[in-house]
Amino acid sequence: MKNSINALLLSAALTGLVGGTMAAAQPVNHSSAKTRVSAVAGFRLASQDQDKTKHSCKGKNDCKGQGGCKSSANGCKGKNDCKGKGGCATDGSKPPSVI
Amino acid sequence: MIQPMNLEQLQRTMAAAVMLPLTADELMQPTNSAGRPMTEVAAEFIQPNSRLTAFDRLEIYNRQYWFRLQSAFTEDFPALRAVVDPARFESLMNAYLAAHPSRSFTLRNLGSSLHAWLTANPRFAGPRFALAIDVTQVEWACVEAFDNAELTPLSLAAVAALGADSQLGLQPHVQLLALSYPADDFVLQMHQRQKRESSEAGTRTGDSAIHAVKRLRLSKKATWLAIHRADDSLYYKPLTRPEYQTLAALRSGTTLPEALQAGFAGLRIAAPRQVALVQQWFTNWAELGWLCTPLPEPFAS
Amino acid sequence: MAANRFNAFQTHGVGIGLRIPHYDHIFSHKPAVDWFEIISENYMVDGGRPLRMLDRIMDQYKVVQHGVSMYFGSSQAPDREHLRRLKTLVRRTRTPWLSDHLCWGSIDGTYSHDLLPLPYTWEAVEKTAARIRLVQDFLEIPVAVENVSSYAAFTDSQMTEWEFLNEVVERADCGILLDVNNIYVSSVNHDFDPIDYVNAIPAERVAQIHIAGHTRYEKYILDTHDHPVIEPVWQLYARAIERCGPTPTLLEWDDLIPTFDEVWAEARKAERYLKPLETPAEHQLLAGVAL
Repeated sequence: MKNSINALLLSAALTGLVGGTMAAAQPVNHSSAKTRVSAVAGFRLASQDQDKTKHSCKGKNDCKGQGGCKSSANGCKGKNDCKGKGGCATDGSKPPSVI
Repeated sequence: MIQPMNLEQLQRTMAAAVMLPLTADELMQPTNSAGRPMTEVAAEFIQPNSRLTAFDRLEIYNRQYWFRLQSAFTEDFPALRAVVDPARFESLMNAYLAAHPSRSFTLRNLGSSLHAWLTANPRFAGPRFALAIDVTQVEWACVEAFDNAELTPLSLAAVAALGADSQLGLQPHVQLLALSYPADDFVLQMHQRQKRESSEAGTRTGDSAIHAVKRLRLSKKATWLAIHRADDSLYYKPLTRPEYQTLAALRSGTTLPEALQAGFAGLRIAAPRQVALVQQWFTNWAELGWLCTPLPEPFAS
Repeated sequence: MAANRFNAFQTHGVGIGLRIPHYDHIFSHKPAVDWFEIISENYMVDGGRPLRMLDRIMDQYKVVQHGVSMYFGSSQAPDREHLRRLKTLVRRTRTPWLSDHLCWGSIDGTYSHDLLPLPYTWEAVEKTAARIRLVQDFLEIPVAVENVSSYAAFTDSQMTEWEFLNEVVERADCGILLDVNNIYVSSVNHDFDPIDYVNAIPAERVAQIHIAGHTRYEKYILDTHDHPVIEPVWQLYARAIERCGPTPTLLEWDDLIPTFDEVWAEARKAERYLKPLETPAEHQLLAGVAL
C-alpha cells in the first residue's frame, strides 16, 4: 500500500516536472512570460529599487544614515551636515529597500 | 627604546585598535581590552602632527571602521531595527559586530551569522525575541536571494532521465523559511512604509514606522515561505508545511522519493490529495526554474 | 605616455564611477560618457540584478574595474576566494586594466573594509610589491595601484609617501592610478607640498587618474567623495596631465550623489586640460613614445 502511494507520488512529481518545464520552455513574449512567472512566484517585493551596493573607497564620516549626527568629538566639529538633508546616504547607494 | 614592529605586528596592533568598540559617545575608548591607555598604544606607532595627537589620528580610523560597518548592517536589517527599537538595535548591532567582525572581502556577508548569534544571545532582542528572530531570518534571506546564483534549470531531457534514486538541486537563490510569526507580511509592510516615508520626506527610516511597530500586536502563526528571485525581482512565496518540508528535504540532498515522504511526514492528508498537491507543486517549481541538478560545492547549503 | 602598457594602450578619455542612482538615466538617455569605472566588489556576486545591470552597461560602454579590498599592502596572503571571484569578473568585463589601492585592510582573516595606510618602510615595499606581482600574474592583465588618502602617519616610516609609491611600482613593475584628490587630502593631513608628490611620480607608469571632492574639517580633511573637485585639486590635475599627457581620467562621487548631469558636468571639466592633445595622431604618437 505504502509503496503504491510512493509510486503515485513519484509519478505525480515527474508529471508536474514535465508540465512545468515545458511551460517554462515555451517561446512567449517577454511580458506574457513575466505575467506567467508572477502568477506563481508569490508576492513581489521589489525590482528597480532593491539595488544596493556596499563598497566604495570614500572615507566615512559620522553620519550613519540613522537620522542625525553626534558631534562631541573634536573630529566632529563642522560635521553636523547630516541634519535637514535626509540623513546620509552611505557607500554611494541607498538603503536596501528590499521593497 | 621600543623595538620597531614588523609589518605583520604593526598591522595586528593597528587592527586591534581600529576595531576596538567605541564609547557611548562614539569616540575611541581611553583604554584597550587589556586596560592599557590608548594614548600609549597609539603613540607607539602613530606620529602626531601639529593639530592631532597620535590618539586623535588613530581615532579617525577607529570611528570610520565602526560607522562603515554600522551603516552596512543597518541597511540590511531595517525591520529588525524597528522590531527591537532603535536604541536596543544599536546595542544589538555593536555586540554582534564585536563578536562577528567581517570575515569576508565583501560587506554583503556582514549579517551572515546574525540569526545564530541572536538565537544564542536573546537578551539583545528584548521582549519580542521570537519576532526578532523571524524578522532576522526574512531580512537575511532577502540578502541571499538578491544575488545568489541562478543555475540552469532542469531540462526536459534531464527530467526524462530522473529515476527513483534521483536527487534534485534547488536554486541557490531560493531561501526556505519556517517562522513562528507571519513575519513576511510584517517585513513587507515595514519596508513599504519606510520606502514611502523616505521618498516623501527624503529621510531614512521614518519614526512613524517604528511607532507603528511598537503598537503592532502580531499573533503567533506558523508560517512557511520561500524568498526567491524571478526576473531580477524578489518575491515572497507562501508555502504550505508539506511543501516546505519537501523542498527542505530536497535541499538537504535526499532522493526524490525520500523528499516526498519527508514532505508529508507527521501530516494526515489523504493519498489522492497528496498526489494532486505534489503534481501542482512540481509544476510550479519547474515553471519557476527552481529545480536543477544537484548543486556542486560551493552552492550546496 | 598616456596610452601605455599599464593601461593596455587604451586611450579612454573622461569617465565617471558607475553608481546605482544613475542607472535609469544612463539606460534612458544613453549619455556620451567615454567610459565607466565599476567597483569590482559590487559585482563579485553569483547572480541577480547587479550582474544584469552590468551586462547592460557593457553593451554600450567601456568599463574598467576598480577594487577596494585587494589590500596590496596586507602582510598576509590574499584570499583565494576573492582572487577567484575577481578573475571571474575580469573575464566578464574584459577590463583592459584593473586598479586597487596601495594600502592594507585585513589581518588574520578579519576585514576592516577601510583603506588603511602603510608604514613607508623597506619591508612594506618588498611585501607589497610581491603581492602586486602575484595578483597581476594571476589576473593576467595590467594592474595599477592607487595612492590613498590617509589620516595617520607611522613612527617607523623611512621615506616619503611618493618615494614609497615609486619603490613599490618599480619592484612590482605595475602601473599607477594617480588620485590627485588623495594627494591633496594627504598633503593637508601630513603637511607636505602636493606638487612635490606630483612632480616625483614616474609619469610613464601612470595608467589612470582619479579626481574627486572631499570634506574639510577643523583639523583634517576626509576623503568623502561627496563634493565637486576643488580648484587646488584641478591644479594638481593640470600638472599631472602636463607630465603624463592625456590620461584616462575618472571622477568619483560616492555620497550625496547629485543627478547624472551634474556629476558628468563636473567630470567634463577635466577636458579643459585634456583637449589640447586629444587628436588621434597625438594619441598614436604618445602610444609610440610609450612603446
